Amino acid sequence: MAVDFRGHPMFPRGFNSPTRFEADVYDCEVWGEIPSDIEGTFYRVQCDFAYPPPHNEWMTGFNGDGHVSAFRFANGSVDFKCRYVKTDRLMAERRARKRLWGVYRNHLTDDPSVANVDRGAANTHIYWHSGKLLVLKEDALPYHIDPVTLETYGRWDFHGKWTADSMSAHPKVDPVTGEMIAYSYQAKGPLTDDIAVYTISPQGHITNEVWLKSPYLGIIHDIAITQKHILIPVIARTTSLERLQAGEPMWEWDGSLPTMVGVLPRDGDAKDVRWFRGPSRNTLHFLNAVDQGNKITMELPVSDLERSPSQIKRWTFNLASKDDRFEEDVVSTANGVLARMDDRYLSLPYRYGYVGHRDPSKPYDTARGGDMAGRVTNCYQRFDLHGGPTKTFFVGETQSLQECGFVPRKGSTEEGDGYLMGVASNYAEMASELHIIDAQRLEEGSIAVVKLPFRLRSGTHVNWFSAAELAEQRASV
Amino acid sequence: MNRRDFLQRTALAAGGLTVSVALPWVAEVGAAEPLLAELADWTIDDMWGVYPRYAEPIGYARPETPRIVSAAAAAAGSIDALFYA
Repeated sequence: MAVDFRGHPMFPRGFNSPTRFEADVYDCEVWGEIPSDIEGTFYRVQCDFAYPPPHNEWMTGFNGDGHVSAFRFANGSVDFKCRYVKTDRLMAERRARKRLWGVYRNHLTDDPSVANVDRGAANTHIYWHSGKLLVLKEDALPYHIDPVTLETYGRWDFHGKWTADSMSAHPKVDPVTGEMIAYSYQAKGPLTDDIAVYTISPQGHITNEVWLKSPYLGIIHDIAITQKHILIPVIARTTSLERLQAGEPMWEWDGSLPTMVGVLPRDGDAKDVRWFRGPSRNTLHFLNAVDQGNKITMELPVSDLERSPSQIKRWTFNLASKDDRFEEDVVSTANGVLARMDDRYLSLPYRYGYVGHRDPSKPYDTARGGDMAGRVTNCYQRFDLHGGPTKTFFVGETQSLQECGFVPRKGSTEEGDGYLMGVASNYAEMASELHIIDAQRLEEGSIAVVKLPFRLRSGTHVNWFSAAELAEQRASV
Repeated sequence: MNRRDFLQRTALAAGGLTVSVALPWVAEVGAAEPLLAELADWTIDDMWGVYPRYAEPIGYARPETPRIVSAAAAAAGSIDALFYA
């Protein structure tokens, strides 16, 4: 039976219908001038459904097949390439010519024929470390792909030393040591309360491994690191066997549960972890954390309820106090949930954060862009932790922005000296475009826009790697 | 009470109690206002908090209409005119 997406409520003909193609565009059309000091590759990941998923109330756009895009910059020009990650999951579907996987992270709803096939969709994030480009999904091992051709080499288990069942999609790379701090939760399989934390050398070898127990079976989608500590937030989105047996997706919000944050010394063991607690909060992604004497501060987008507007908050953990509650302050009212920074300052004192922001007061052209007013992420904001003014980039009257990444200016070391890059969905043109913005002058608009002759679906996460980084790490491994 | 009712009532109950502790150097901080109208519209994609949702069914902005060849284009004598018929 041929593929037919008609009638599926998630996929009307339009911008968010699956793209399902792989493409190369050599020398993309560019409006404006790409600065000559941008040299490297901007990678992004999207969920792209190769086959129609089940029709039920638990459909999520985040349950599609991993699809990687790469914008490669050199000498003022940019080449584009996109490829599916050839996961075991996708290849099994291709052989069967139909969808074999059920609802989000519920293996009990899969087709019985794939009971022993890896569920990893490689659809969340992308990292370059120890000479390998890894595409991640938190319930499986990462997939290793080629940074230039994007062809898939296969699953990566760190020279056979990765002992956990999965690796989360949000490891952290320490800009000082070059180490990657990575982790797994439900680390012994679905519904287990084990957490495994790994330190990986710049050469890709595991140098430390710590196993912990989670205070409850909540989501641990991201972590934060300082120079001395690893912060492991457990969020009140929980699960159970009964839930999976009922055919529901992994997570259900439970606002009665506290937020728990494990603080683990980077040179410590399981006995050294200290759990702090706070009010139930909805958050998935964290910006940065810093040691401040006996305190640790951490900034992150947070919603007070499951679905109230997000704000950027600061959580403070006092290691000298016997009180295990953390403090919470508001840093910015920017309401985006995907905040990024200049990653050269990750785990270090820093000043700026960058976040997508939904501003319904900005104009939206419904005649050209359709009925999306109020539902678009139409701005990027730079907020200043030192109290300077928030700067805003407005993308336009028919576009919505996806997550941005920070691109350091070649040769610079000063925090924030560089560019923001992010893909926008242009609903009037039914095509996607990559915006390049001076990260110190957001209000001046795009310096250049890379115009693609087709649309890309909503993306998940992005990362930038300079040509020098890509070459240097390959040579050192 | 179903799940969506529960969410709406929770939001109503907590809306007036939301407290934000503003740092002195933050000028534009205000209390969060839950989007009550949207809570009734809950889908699983809301757990990611991204706008538009990953599963937002975004159709064409304009209805697809049959192609209309302008008289000027047809009269231009272009070889493309051979294909207009």
